[in-house]
Amino acid sequence: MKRLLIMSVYFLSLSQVSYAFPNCNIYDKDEQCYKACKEAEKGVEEFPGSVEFQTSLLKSIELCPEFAFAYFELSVPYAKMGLMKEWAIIMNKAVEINPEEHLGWRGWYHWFFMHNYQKAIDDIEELDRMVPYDIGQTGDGNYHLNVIKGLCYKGLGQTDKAIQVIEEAIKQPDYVQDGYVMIHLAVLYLELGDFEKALGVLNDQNSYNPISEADFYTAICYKNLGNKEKALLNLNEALAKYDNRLTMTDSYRQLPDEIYRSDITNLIKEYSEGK
Amino acid sequence: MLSSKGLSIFFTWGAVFLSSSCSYLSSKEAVKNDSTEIKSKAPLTAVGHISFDPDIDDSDYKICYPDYVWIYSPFDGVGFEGEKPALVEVFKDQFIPRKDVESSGYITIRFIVNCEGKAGRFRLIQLNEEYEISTNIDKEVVDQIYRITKSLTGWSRHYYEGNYYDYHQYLTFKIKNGDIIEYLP
Repeated sequence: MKRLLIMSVYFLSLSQVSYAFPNCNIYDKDEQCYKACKEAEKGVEEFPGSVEFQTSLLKSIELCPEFAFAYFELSVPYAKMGLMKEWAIIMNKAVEINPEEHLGWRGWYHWFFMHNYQKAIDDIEELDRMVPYDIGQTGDGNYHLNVIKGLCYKGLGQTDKAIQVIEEAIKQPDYVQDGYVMIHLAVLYLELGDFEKALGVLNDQNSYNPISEADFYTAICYKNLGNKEKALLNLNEALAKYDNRLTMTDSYRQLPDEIYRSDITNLIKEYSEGK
Repeated sequence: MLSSKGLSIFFTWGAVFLSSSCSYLSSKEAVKNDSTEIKSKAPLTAVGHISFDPDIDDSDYKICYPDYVWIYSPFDGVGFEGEKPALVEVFKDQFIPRKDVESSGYITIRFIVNCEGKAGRFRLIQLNEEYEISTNIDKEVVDQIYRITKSLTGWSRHYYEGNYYDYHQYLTFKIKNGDIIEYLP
């Protein structure tokens, strides 16, 4: 059910995403760039980072050095392997050639792989200034870029600003529900001691995408509101969901506010012992 | 048109990529001729594959399937016994911040976890916030992180279709004022 919901969000959000594989026919008057596009099309069919993948994309760049897409795709495996120096050199070239297409990606990657919050904010804001339309989702469709901007402020320790940015982002008419934004808002409200507000958004999360984190943070709210019994009930629910793999998840890294089994069991112990 | 600097970058990366793929191409031929069938869907790595370096690597460290080292971690970021909190706890126990030095940036340590769950072939990268190579991070900070990372045990083994495989893994440490402020991924 969780996967169905997330995939639904992803496909709905595609209408907001400016990025897509280029239509090679737009290069019909430029033979070399057309060939570059077709070569890149072949390359992305291969496993990212493999010999075949890299060879096709390098050939694509050789054919058409201003084909930004090839630089972008070439850069991605480096980021996934922790080779950020190489990623930056190649990705910066993609942004230089086509900033409208690739600034959002670069900003997302600054946040996603390196928690380089200010650089991510700078890229997202530059894109927002540049285009008259909604800047859309991250490449994986999991977040709106302005929610990422809010999470960057969270990372910088600016809780009020983070809340302001995220609340503003989710109010927009083009906004499509992110998978985990309510968890992040809840944690921010918790930091300010606004437990009732946190409970409200956690209920929203549970109705949309019930995951372990929702119950975990709900437990913290109830404990702080003086209801230890409800807190423990929610922690047990959190544990059950965790063991059934109903949690925040990402293939490449820990997400902000993601919890682990030991977080839950430690809190159960703490609350049970009356602390 | 590509600037001269851009051409230089392109040919540099082309050369790096091609040189790292040479050993892959020759070993692929060896696998094709090998009568032992290795069932694997792991793509042969090109980008970032950590090859054996006799000057720094332990020659006794075993890679079970040298031609099929998975390109990156098959786990959600990190596969470690006790999950990420356990890994972070090791550093919180052992790492001593150097708060008297102004030292910020990123330290990445890349390595391989083999089919037995043992780590080896460690590679250290130090970057500033522009992702440029940096030598400004305090040496004591770097040495501690490198030493602790190498000492870690409890890496998850990668099981796939009846076999355990080797995979690449990395850890990135965000450093500020001589202390680790974030652990990635």
